[in-house]
Amino acid sequence: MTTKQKAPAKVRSSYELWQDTIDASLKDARWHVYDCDLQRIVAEFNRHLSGTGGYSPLDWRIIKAIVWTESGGPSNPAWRSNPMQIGNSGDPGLTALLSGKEGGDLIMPGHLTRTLTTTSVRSSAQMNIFAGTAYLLMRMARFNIGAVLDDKDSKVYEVAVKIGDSLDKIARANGSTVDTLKKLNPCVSILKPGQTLKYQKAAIQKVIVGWNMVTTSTIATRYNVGDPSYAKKIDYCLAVMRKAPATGLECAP
Amino acid sequence: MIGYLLTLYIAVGSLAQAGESPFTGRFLGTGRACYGMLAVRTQTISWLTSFSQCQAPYNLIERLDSNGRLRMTWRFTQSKPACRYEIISLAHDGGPNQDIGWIVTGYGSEQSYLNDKRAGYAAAAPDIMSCYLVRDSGKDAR
Repeated sequence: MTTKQKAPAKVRSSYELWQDTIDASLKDARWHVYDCDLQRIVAEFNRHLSGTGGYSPLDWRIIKAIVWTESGGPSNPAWRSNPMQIGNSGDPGLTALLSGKEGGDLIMPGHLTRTLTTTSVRSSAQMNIFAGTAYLLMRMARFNIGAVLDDKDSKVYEVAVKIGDSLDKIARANGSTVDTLKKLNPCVSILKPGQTLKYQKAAIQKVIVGWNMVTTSTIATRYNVGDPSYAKKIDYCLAVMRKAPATGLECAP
Repeated sequence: MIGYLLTLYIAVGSLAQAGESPFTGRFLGTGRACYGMLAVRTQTISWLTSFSQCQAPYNLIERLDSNGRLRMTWRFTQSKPACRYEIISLAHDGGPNQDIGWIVTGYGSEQSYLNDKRAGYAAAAPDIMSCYLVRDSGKDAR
């Protein structure tokens, strides 16, 4: 007679348990309630940033995967008011976005610079998604300081050089920049009194000069703080989304 | 009203502490804000996340178990600047799997906890953080 030994139950790793949680999205429609909001919000950023430094449109499903990874799904009360988990006490991310010092103002469409506040980000899921997406894109953008033409006054003016003038002095006196003067007057090397220079209104500002490619790996490095499995989790969420049956949800244009 | 509620929940807590064996366990969080660990031990609780580091002795102030939905609330008895929460609450979603479906909520103040309790645990105030957790089955609470 032989006795069959029962194999010990395998202890599931925390990552496998987390996968079980995400798998619930295949049978629970609540995981997809933000789909239209996500599409609308990401489309707004894509329109706003189109043409800046070779920007490639962001896939809204990336933000959905971040929402799932950050919140753990609709059983978390944060799902209803703080699904991207940005703006929690002690989180420097929202402060950086709203400070105006790290380029957040260039990332956000105009209305957001007025409506996105520490309060609105914690009380509205949509504002929280706006903030999280803006913070992600701010972390993906490459900034530099450069001359930016005044978008309200594109007229080309002329100014006569006076004794003692320099390009810097002329630029300051006329609301332009040295780079703008050099660009409009490429043949001028030495200034002579009476000479006429062209200029446009411009200012030295932070500008977006390029973008880091948005991949799950760059998101893990540049957006995430400390979760060592972040890229793997985003990849898993995207894979689960591909398996999910169509929701039949029609979003308003 | 607040005084009455405080008295009530402390009384409930004392009863709970006297009647139940201490809950212990170790849980793991996920994501940019919530990645870290919650360890509930017999004497101390650690809740370590990206932006808050709590580790202190505690008092149980409430333990509710209705329809398989367990909720325990503890108050740290020591405060440190790195810890942003005075009170934390751990709840299970009532699903059949006890290894998943846990939510920890941190409250910056007693008032915040009481307001949230009245609001049905919506965790919408700025000094509240709610994180999804899975149980770290392979480990005890050390």
